[in-house]
Amino acid sequence: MLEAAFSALSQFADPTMLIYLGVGVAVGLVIGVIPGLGGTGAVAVLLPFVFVLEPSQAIAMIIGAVAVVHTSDVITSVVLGIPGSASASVFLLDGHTMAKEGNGGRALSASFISSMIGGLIGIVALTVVVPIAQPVVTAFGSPEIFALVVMGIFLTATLSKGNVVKGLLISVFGLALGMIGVSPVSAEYRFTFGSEYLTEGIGLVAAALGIFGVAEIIDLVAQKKSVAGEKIKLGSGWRQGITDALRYKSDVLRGSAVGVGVGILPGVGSTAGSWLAYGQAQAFASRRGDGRFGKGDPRGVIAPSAASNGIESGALIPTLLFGVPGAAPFALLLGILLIFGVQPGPTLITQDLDLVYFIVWSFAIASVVGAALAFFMARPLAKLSHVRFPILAAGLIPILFMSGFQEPLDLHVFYTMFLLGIIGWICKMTNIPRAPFLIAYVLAEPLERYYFLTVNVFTPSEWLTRPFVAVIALVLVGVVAMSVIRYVRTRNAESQAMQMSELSDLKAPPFMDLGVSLVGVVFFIAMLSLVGGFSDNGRVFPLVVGIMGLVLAVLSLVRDALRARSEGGLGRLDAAWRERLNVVGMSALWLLAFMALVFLFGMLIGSVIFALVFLLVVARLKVLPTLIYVGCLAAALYALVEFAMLVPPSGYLI
Amino acid sequence: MKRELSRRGVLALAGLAGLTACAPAQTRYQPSGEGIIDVVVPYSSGGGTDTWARFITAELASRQEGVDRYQIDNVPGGESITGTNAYVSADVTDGRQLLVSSATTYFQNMLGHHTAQFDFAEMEPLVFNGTGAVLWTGESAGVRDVYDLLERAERVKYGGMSASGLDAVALLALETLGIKVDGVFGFEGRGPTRLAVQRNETDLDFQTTATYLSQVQPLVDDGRAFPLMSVGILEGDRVVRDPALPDVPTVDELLEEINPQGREGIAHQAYQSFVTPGFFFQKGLWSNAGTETAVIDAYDDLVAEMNSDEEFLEESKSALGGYDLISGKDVRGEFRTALELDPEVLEFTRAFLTDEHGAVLD
Repeated sequence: MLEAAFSALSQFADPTMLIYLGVGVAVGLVIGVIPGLGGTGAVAVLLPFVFVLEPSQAIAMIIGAVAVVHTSDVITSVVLGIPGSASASVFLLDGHTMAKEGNGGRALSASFISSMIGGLIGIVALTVVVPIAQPVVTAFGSPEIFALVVMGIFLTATLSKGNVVKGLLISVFGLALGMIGVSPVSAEYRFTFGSEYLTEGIGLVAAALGIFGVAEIIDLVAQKKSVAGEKIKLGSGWRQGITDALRYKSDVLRGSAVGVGVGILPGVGSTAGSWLAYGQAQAFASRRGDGRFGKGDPRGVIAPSAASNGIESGALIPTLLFGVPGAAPFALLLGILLIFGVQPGPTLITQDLDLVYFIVWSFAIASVVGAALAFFMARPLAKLSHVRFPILAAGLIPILFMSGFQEPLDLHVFYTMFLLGIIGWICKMTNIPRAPFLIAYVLAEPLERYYFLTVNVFTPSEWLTRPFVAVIALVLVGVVAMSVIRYVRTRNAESQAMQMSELSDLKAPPFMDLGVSLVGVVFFIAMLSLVGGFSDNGRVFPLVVGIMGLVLAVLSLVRDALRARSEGGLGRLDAAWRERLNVVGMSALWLLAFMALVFLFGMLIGSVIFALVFLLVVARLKVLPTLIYVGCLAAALYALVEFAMLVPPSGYLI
Repeated sequence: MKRELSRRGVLALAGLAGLTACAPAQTRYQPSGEGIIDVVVPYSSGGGTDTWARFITAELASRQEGVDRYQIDNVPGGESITGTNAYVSADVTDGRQLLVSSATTYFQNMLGHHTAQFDFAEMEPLVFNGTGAVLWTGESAGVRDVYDLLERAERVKYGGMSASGLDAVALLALETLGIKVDGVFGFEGRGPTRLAVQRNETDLDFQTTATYLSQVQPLVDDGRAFPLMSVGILEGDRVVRDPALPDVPTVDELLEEINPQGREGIAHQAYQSFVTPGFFFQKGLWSNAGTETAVIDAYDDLVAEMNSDEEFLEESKSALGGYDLISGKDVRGEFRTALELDPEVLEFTRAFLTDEHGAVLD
């Protein structure tokens, strides 16, 4: 075993091998920073080159990219408040809050260190687990994955503090949107309205970028502020972040463990995994009673950072040992290994142990190098938070929409992103937490899939008594019981104190809340009216979700009505609100203009025209800087298409 | 003034909303240029069919004069229908644009998917690559071969992805032999169905030969798994045992032994119609109906050249699953016969998949 490990390491004595690994790391870091593009995007970039390289070179390159994507995508989330990838949306809570308070450097360095450690722990786990992986993976079946998914769904409730009913309402909305497309149990189309775009769902990247990214743009563009508010020194705090990561080492360890666990179980996915890590860190901190989660607690950055890299390394276990891709980018890795004649499977350990260790070393080296490089990248990128937002938006809008387009390759996705952006903004203004939406959206499919696989194969007395399932069930019952007790005790005390981060700066008048609830009622009635057309199996989940949504929406409506009465009327928009609406209306208008330009002229020319006009009119930039900026934007988009293999949408005319 | 602005704003909003009411389709054919052959792959990049396409086109390009490379154009969506429809509607017949297709797309064609605008029975296959497949079982059912399965009173559980996909072939094979199973559908892929048998969650699983040999054979050697039957390979118009699996009987062999009259039965006809595009000619490089003969002949020659190239055969073993390339020109007849389902057989298959296995067909 040791011999194989060192002979694998000796391959890196060849400098060209390090160069290929370095190319992978560089691509991974850059793709990570681009909003919405994650591991799959990075591997897709490298795909065309794979076929001309030697197998070990290609593998080094791909592992290098996958190992660092989740190190650098944190930068975008923390600095700009726009998710660097779907799984990095977790950093919008504490990470971005820290940046707004001027602690961006601290958040980032804590994240880089944790993610490096997470990757290394994962890779050690991989090495240790290899001999015993067979029983471990076979011990975890559909019931265990189902239990884990249910736990993730419960997480949405704990993230809904302050506005529990609406938080639950929007997570049910997330479940509903997650059901659009082909049903996992009956392979029939649900809620697609005959559209080819919807047959494969609305797209995770579009959902994450819409509800968080576009919403942020709508809100900030017209405010003409920079992300960080005032000028704050970012330079300090970098060292503090490293100290944080060391101080909260138990959170690093637990986060990594959650990550590796989620990685080993194919089916849960990295977005849900990083939120699970966040949830457990929050739970542990609240037990100790010192949590500032949602308000810029470094542990809210540390745990998911450690987890996100742990997931990627943990996911190598099912990929290599069972030929079952543990994470999306590894489905691509699997195909590439097959081309090179490497058959992943139990025989890999006996026949190609060298290769396994080669992958392990690649991952380890890339994790360390990636974290170091991320420090260098983060400093200049962090300055972006001091740039006036409209200037940033001129470039961000095209990149955001182009990223969302990559998954479905269908322009209808622009509508989804725009609508979710509006919904996200309304959530922000009415204090509805948005994280539950995203978690529910990603878990909708596995929830349904593994529920049916569980009940079709096992009787309730069989699957409910499996040890892992029973433990999770007990934990959930305990958590629910505890929160009920706590709720009863603190009922009379100040119950609104525990707000999540998304407190808006303007208080929404009661009629807005009422409106949101009313839209919920209408939405779920419409959903239920469509359920009748589905097959017996395909109907169960939409029906349950629709009823749950309707109940919650009605409950929310009643609460809002009571509040309106106690506050003496529906309220009205004051001057500040009217001003804000005007501003947001203008932003929405600009987004629609952008969409129209792309529909007409395609991505490249549409974006250039948009950016020119936008920079001159909204950002009020001078002509020369505008031209330089637009030139750079065009070059960047062109580079993404030409070298990163992104597909640019084409318009009617071009 | 504020009012004024907002009213104008609302008007502009309405106008722009109108302008953006229809998104342009992304499927227009744009030739990549001299020396480049465009290939529509109606699946996402990195999947099995996409990897096959990238491998095979790189090999083809290196042997074709005047062709620098093939440009892979992934058009996912609509479960491969979007891309295939787009290819057919561009109607390029001079070989400058080709299509890569796979079993599930043929099945949509055969089972009559309402949005499918293509008909593979009219299009021109250029290159095929088939694969064998094995139905195997774990320890849980206490079954070691098909005869045990026939004697077993209780139904066993078959784990699959969806009854209207490749699993249909296994289900029809079992039906032909008179074996009733409970299908458990909804697994995410062939990896999870395999693990489910290893965990004793389900009893039967269906794998391609290449995966079977690498993942299941070690279990078989340990006495923890048992092969039941294979689909065999096509030799001329006869099905024979897969040379990679000399000890595993084919479905046709078993039928001959167990129920010789069954050969004429409707279930067997249905099985034959689906196994041919499903496995014998699973992946293919296609061109539109009415393609120039020169193009078809060129690929026919290329396949012959590649099949006699020892070095290529050695290199491609893993990527092609250990099976030779087949010239589309040679087997066009067989493929079309399989695809032209007798209405009665189609009716039977649809009823079998929907009633027995809960498939939803439109």
